[in-house]
Amino acid sequence: MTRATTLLNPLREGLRLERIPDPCVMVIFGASGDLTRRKLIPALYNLAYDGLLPPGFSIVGYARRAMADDEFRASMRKAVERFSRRQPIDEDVWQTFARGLFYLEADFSEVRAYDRLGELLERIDRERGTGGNRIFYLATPPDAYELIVERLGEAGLSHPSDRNSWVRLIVEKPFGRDLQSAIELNEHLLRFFQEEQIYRIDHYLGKETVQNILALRFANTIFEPIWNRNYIDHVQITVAESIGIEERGGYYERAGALRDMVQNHMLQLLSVIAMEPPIAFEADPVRDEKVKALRAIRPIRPEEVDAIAVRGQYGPGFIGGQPVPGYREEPKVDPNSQTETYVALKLFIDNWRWADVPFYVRTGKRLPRRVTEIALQFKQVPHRLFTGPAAAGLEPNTLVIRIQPDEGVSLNIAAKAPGPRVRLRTVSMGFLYGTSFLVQAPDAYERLLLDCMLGDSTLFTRRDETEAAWLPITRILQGWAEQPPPRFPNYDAGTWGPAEADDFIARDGRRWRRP
Amino acid sequence: MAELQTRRLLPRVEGTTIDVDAIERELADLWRSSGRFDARGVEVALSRTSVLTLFVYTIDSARAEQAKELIDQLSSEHPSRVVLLTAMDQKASGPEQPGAEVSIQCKLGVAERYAPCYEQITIGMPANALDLLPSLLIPLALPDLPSFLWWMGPPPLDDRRFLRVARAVDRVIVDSLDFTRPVHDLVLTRRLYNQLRGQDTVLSDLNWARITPWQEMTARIFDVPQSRWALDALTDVWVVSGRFEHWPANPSQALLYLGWMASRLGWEFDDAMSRPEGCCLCMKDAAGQRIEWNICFEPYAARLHGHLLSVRFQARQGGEQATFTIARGGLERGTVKLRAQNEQQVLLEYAFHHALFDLRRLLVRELQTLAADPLYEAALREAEGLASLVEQWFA
Ligand SMILES: NC(=O)c1ccc[n+]([C@@H]2O[C@H](COP(=O)([O-])OP(=O)(O)OC[C@H]3O[C@@H](n4cnc5c(N)ncnc54)[C@H](OP(=O)(O)O)[C@@H]3O)[C@@H](O)[C@H]2O)c1
Repeated sequence: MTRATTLLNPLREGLRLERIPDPCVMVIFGASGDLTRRKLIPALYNLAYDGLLPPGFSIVGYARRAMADDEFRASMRKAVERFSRRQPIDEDVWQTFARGLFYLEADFSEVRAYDRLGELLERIDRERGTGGNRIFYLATPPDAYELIVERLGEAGLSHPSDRNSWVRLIVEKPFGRDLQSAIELNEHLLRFFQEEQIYRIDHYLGKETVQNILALRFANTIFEPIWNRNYIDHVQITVAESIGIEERGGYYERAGALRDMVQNHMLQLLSVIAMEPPIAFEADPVRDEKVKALRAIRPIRPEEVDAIAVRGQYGPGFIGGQPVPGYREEPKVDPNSQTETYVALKLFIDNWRWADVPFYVRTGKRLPRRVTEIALQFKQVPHRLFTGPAAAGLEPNTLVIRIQPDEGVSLNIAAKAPGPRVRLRTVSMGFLYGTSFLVQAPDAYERLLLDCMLGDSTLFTRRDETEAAWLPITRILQGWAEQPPPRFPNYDAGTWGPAEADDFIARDGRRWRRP
Repeated sequence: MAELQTRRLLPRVEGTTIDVDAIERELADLWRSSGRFDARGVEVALSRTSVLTLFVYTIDSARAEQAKELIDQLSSEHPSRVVLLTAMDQKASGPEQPGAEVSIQCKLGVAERYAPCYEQITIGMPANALDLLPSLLIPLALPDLPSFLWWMGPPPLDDRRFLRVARAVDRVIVDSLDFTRPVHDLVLTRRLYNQLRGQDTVLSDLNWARITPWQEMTARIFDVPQSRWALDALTDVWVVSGRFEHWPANPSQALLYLGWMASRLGWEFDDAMSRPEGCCLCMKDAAGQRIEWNICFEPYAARLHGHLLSVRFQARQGGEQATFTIARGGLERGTVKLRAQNEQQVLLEYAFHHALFDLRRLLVRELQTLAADPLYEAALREAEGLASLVEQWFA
């Protein structure tokens, strides 16, 4: 294949399938690691299976341990057999996919290795028609990010070789440990890459969810007029997990629930709920509005942290009838650990729309069930016509956006129960995305990898977004650091968190939902 | 997957027509009385989200069975109303002739706390019921939601009453794979398409959707910058379809596929000739270069009768030559494979699985689209022109 032309392809127009990315190579740093094996390669294979990858698509795995290309292919095949949602493996698809897999064995620090990488990429461009388009994926321990980026920059790999090609960088979470380290990391990346080239991943927020919420809010006329302080009493965002920390004690000890969940995922959810309508359904206009919402979070002074935050750590208990150990008994966890596995926060967004509406945000491990939901609870009616037994047990209107399990939306309304007497009941009207629209939502990693190849950064966090999200979190961390150590553990595994969290919301005359 | 199911039979009272009000009444009653607990005694909320009404008309009971199976597979993702209208065999008239049956089917275990449900209405129709169909389609469609009519079996394209039936819904889905006289009926399909233009009904052909994987792979060959030249330098194309034993060859897919390419690339018809196993249509591209388009058939199992099996393009320009072969393969033949080569070497190999080789996914996709497909319209126009030229060889 020698001759290249840039003529348009008239056959492409109007086809009903999705857009296909340009041929490209993805270089995965940390290719022998857990993330590559469990998520990245299965997601890429699934994309190949569904015909969403371009012809010639190639992967270069970069890691330390010795492996030949064929061994790398064999081990990736095992990963696909084990973790892909497409079973059994399709031989034809696998063969053409595997032909594009290459392995480079080197330490991240080795300068010469990046020259070898450059040569390999050029060879792939020549042989497989990838046209100089590259994605560098940092699936490595976070402390390697800066080194790799620097080496790529020094080797001249961080910029496209010509005007028609592109180079992108995907950075995994966690992105920094606090505001200062996030700023430093951003500055370091931006010495070698442009902001438009950087894709900071937050795999929790799959495109479907964000788009579902945006569609609900902005494709309907009935919600937006009441989506504000005049009608909404408060918002509760819950990310409850029934699992513990699995095998990730080492990581979790350094992170804790606030960093692991709230800084990224939960503030993402909050910003999508709180944002103003974007001027267009495109990456930057959407992110502009999200950042504005995050920036409007009422500043937190470290000394008032007790008034807005509760933390907890689970002790032993039961999940689904099975006894489970407490956090401090988990492997690789300090027996006196002060790491929080539960947080509840009360945040305010100081703007015209949300002034004085509390956003209660809570997340925890080893809670009774796995559920992620956002509930907007509306105010009571201004004048109660129905009181006494007629209205006993009546709940205020609540719009619940459920993300998992069973992604869907439900609205609780009051209705009269049939019969001669007036008795009101709360009824739930709901719908589920999965069962209403005949299609399975694609896996979050598949969507994100494809978006990056297509140059769509809507779902990736921009520099200002990460920093805006770190600011309140850092203030809370500072406040905690100044306090005497908490008395942990303070909730049993399998319960809805510490009693303090119930008191915390009860002080405002409200209570947590039992989702 | 467990299922909650409640059904009720509405016997037909001799001499009366089908009572739509009674059907709605029974359904409402079923919703009121149906159980709310699964086998473990756990309470589930029956969820009745409606996105569309699907009417399925089957011309015989064998097809009705096939339709039922398919609807059942769709049901966990398909919380709508399905109305199955089956033409009863003539000989089954009399007391055995069933009336209507209504049921509510809910899948348990799809979602944690909800059981998605759909309503199914089954109606036995007299054999020649074109006249009365609109009077059922209109009142039984859920208000404010799109309605689809999937015609299983050869549609009576030359019957003027079929137009009235089509106008009663938002989208009519036919299948040119099922046509009795495939080539001639393609001409009639175009006529119906034109008659419905400007109305609220869109006509679509499942068989057109079946060639999507082929179109996608074809487009992808020429997306690759290094092979783009070949699109303006095609000399020969072989399109091979399956043919089962003595069944008459069905070239609908091949003609629609050619119709698509011709309409996209501005090819014009030059001449046509019969070949032992098919025919050859000679086209001229925009630059006046001749392209021989061979429509061929290969003996194959009934399952793939009339389906494209492979397409081979040959291109030549100056000293350069290349061949591109697209073929089905893999498990269940659900994979499309591409191989590009020149005289010396293989240039590119590529494969993906295509969901649209599966009838269920094909149908789902049809149910997701409401707007007319301009590509289909253009391809059908070309295919119709070509069909009338080759009709003699496929009679
Ligand atoms: N695992 C997950 O499910 C998950 C989920 C979300 C985010 N993440 C993030 O993804 C990143 C990777 O996580 P992981 O779980 O995949 O980590 P991991 O299993 O520890 O893998 C680390 C990889 O980096 C390579 N590596 C480490 N130091 C190296 C060096 N100096 N030179 C060359 N290669 C080196 C290792 O290669 P060798 O083993 O060959 O030495 C291995 O391939 C982390 O930032 C993590 O926070 C992971």
